[in-house]
Amino acid sequence: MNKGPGKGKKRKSPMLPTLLRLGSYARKHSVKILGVMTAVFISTALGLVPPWLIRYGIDNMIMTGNIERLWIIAVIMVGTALLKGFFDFVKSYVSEFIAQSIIHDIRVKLYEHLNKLSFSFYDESRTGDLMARITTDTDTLRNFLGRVSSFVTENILTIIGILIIMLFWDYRLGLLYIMILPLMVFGMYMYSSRVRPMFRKVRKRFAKLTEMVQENFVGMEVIKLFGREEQQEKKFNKQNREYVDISIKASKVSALWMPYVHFLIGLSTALIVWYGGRLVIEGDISLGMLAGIISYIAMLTRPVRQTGMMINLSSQATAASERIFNVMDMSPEVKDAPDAHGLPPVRGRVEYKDVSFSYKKGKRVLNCIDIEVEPGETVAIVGPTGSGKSTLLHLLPRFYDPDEGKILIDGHDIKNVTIDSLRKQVGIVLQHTFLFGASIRENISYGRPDASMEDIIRCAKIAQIHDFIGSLPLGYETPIGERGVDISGGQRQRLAMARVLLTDPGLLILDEPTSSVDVETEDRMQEAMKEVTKDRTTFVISHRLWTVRNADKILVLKDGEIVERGDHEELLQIEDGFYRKIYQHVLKDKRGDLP
Amino acid sequence: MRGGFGRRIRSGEEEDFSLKQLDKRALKFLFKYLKRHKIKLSVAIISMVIMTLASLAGPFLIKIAVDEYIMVGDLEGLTLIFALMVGAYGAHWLFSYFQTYISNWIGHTIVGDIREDLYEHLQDLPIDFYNKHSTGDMMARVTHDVNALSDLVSTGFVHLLSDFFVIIGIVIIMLYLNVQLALVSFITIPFIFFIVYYLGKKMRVAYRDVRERLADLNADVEQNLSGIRLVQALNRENINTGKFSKLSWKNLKANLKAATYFSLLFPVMTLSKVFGEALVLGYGGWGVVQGTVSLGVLIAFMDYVRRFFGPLADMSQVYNTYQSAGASLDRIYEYMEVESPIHEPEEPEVPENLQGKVSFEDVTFGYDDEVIINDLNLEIQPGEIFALVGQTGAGKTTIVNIITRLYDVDEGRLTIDGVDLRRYPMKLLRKIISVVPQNIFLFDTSIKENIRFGRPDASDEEIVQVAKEVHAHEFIKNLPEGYETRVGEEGVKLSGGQKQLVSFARAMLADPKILILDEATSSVDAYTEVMIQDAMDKLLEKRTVLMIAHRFATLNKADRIGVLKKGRLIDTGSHEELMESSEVFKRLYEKQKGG
Repeated sequence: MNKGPGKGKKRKSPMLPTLLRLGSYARKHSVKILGVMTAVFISTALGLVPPWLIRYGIDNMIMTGNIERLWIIAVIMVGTALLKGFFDFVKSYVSEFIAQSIIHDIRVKLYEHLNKLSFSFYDESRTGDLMARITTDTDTLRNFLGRVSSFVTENILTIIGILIIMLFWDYRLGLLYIMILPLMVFGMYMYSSRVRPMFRKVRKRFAKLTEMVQENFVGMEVIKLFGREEQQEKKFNKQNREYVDISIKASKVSALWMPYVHFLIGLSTALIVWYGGRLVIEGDISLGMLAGIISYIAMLTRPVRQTGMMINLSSQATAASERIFNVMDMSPEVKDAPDAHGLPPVRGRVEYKDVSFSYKKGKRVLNCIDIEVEPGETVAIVGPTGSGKSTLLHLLPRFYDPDEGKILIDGHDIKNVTIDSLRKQVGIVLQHTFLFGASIRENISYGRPDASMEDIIRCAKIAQIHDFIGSLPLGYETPIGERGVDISGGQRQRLAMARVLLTDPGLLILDEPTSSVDVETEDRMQEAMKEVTKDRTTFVISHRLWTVRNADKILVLKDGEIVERGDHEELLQIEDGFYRKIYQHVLKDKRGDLP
Repeated sequence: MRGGFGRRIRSGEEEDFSLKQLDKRALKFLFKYLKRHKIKLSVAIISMVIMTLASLAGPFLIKIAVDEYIMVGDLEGLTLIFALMVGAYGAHWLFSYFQTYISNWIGHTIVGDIREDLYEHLQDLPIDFYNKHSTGDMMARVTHDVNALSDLVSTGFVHLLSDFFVIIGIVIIMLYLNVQLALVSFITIPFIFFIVYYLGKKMRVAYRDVRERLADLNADVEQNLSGIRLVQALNRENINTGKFSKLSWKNLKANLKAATYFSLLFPVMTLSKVFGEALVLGYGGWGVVQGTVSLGVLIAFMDYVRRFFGPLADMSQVYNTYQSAGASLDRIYEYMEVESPIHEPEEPEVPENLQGKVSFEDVTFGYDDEVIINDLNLEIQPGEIFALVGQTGAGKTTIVNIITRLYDVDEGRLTIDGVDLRRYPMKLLRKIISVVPQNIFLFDTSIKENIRFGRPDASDEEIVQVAKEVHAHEFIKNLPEGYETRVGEEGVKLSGGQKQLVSFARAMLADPKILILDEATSSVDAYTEVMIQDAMDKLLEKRTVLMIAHRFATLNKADRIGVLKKGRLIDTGSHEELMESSEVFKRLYEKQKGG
């Protein structure tokens, strides 16, 4: 069994392999990456020019009074800044382009992969969690890819470049600079290890608070009816206070460490002025050099501040890509056999041979099921909740594969046919009706997007939903979903029915297709359905006696085993039979109720 | 820069809201909270002023160092400057810590208080309010909008004030040091301001587009993942992937467009700094030679012009910051203004020895202008089981809503033991009356906690006891974690029948004098139906019961039945009597039996 993607477990996986794997997506952009790197080099180098010019201007022109050409220095300064700006722009735009392209590829691939994963995967996963992987996590990655690589290179180059220039100017100043470096590392470390984790905690608390608010708003009626306002308010206030407290704590930490970089730069400047000033007085260095160095020190603000951010972004990105790859590495449990062939048009003979199935090891849901169904027969399945009725039918379109035994359609083992050809011919109305946020027409034609309007209307008529659709002002174009019309449970089920009928399946599975449809409508549906089910094999799970009574075969399922089988009359003959008991109970409750 | 600029651009979504629209009373509402922290707020502002002064002292001290010590060779003075500089930067760190911490403290505390008050207020509003507003909208106001206010108070207000001080401070110092050079340097101010203002405007539009594309993408993923079982059953994988790929591509393009503007930001920043430096060097250098400008002033100016960028970039976006916070404040205040029409009684009355007799006396009620209940008279005796039947829209559920005082009647009165409903303390009323609603809402906690919702002080034994009585115990103990099993969002992990049994247990635990039972319409399997009917017998024992029955098996339990039509009670009597006398009842009955 493959489980849902692991969540919350703190597995520290190494950063490098994950990044290398990301790198494989970047390969096709290698030329552009080279371009970005070149731009980074040039722009960093250009960035180091102005202080040099300042030094030159002060020492060689201002101090000597030889200022006719000072304006040229100023113009060159602005010129280098413009040139640097151009390379900066190229750098950030192109790297953003590369990041976006990589993310687009990853996102589409992930989406495609998710569509292939089996039901068992989705049984164990939360939609919100999977959504986050395909939206938030990919975005985190994009942020990382677009910025980190070029920023890190740029910052490292800046720090080293300044060091070289200082050593070149005067070795003592270089040494002083080297002494400041540990303080910078300390600043980066403090920021990434103290400040960021706090904000993560804040986000977590906020998510908790949001969840609680949402649930309370949705369940407000129950809260009011049971008079639980005070308790809920207390709970809310507690959550709210915790969020406020953690926010204040976080801002305390960040208030302490965020301005640290200012202090650091200030301290460095003070040291330079003090020590450098001494050197100037002693005549070892020039005043222009001092001014240039002060200017260089000011340039360090960005690397210090960004590096902390980068460290965090990197660890976030590692976590995000891990979560993404985690899903991508999951192989679908149900997949085509290597030598799978297409299923020829179905005539409708279905056999279950000694089929057993369990969702979790050790807890059998189906046990040694044997069924034989002839083409065109209607088979009803009854039994208490949790007896495995739906599971039994979910094996037929291969939503799950049985642990033991096999299932044959017209003599073909369904494990040996392609999933596409199988599902195209096995139509199923699922127990939980899901409609998409699209028009009614699009919802009905979801399985056959190229269907003609006539076909759509024909199927809507059989499902007894055409009249309702006709009564809507926009008819078949009426949108469904949040901003669409209100649709009752019964109407949803009838739409789902029309949707399946439109695919004209050779085999039809109906899992409680009418549980919310009112009796009158169901009657009419039954009439119309007779036509549909006449010459195709149909499996139906239903609580309505009327449906069950008319089936060719009835299977009574209890605790994963078929305990009784036969037609209505035969089953009633069984003394102490489950079917008979239920049937009698319903009758005893007089007045022909329909459980 | 505090990194706030980019963030503000991205979150500035309130383009349509004009600050002029903001209600004066909304501001008063906010000030009411602010006033409580007057002293802290002034401490924050004083800290901010000291911090600003300290940060501006640096370049000034450099100027003194160069002009008065380095140029004249005073080593002792240089050491003094060093000490002063370290002191200034230390003070900057300390006061910046105070300022940030205190203003954040105020912001979070105020926001916590507002959120608490808003939640309490919303909870007091009648259920009508919840039916008319979307959960998403209410959530957004309690979470997102309130947080936006926090940004306004802590970062927005104090930071902008500090930006303002920094600029004013630099301007004054520069003018003091050298009027001419200062005036020349100021050329950079409008340059920065307008370019950033323009970029910000472009970026906001671009990022709005990015957000919209992202929302499309998210919506698609959500639909696909929620309906994944259907997508697979209907073979839609490839079509959906193709659609997604297109959406993802559009998202990429929108992002790149935003990146164009965003990539310009850094070049602009660099350029503005270098431009300032070049200007000072060029013009100031000339001044040095002329003897009108000292070298120290030149060096200090270069530092000051670099500092213009951050505060100016922030200030160019002032309007947006306040616009977005103003819109949030407006939305919050809009909810705070809504008054609840349902009040606690001023002089509560509590009958001794409660019997549980319910009377409707000439009750008329409607939502908005539409009359739903029309002049209704009905008496339900203590211990009587009274069932209401009628077609959809006859007003059955409305009767549940008014008897539980989710709504107050428009005319006439509703009494319990002769005392008007409106005279009962709300809490007591909720204790007397319990409801089993048609759509069962469960909270995403354990089954045990869900049952305990009926009576928070119940012991675990009592919970198991009632679960046994309503036949819920059997299925609960078979769940993987028994009573500790989480039921999932809105109880998705339970079947319809199981949810009904849990809601019975919940009502049973509350042990009300009067029970309102709104029967679920959807059918469950025969076996579960038997359980439910049995459980219902237990639940109805020794209580006054008003039930809305959809099944005739349930109707059999009633002592008396009333037929509701268009808000009027047209017939009452026993089952047999009604079969004789009521045409409407007979027709309803035949229709059901027809199945």
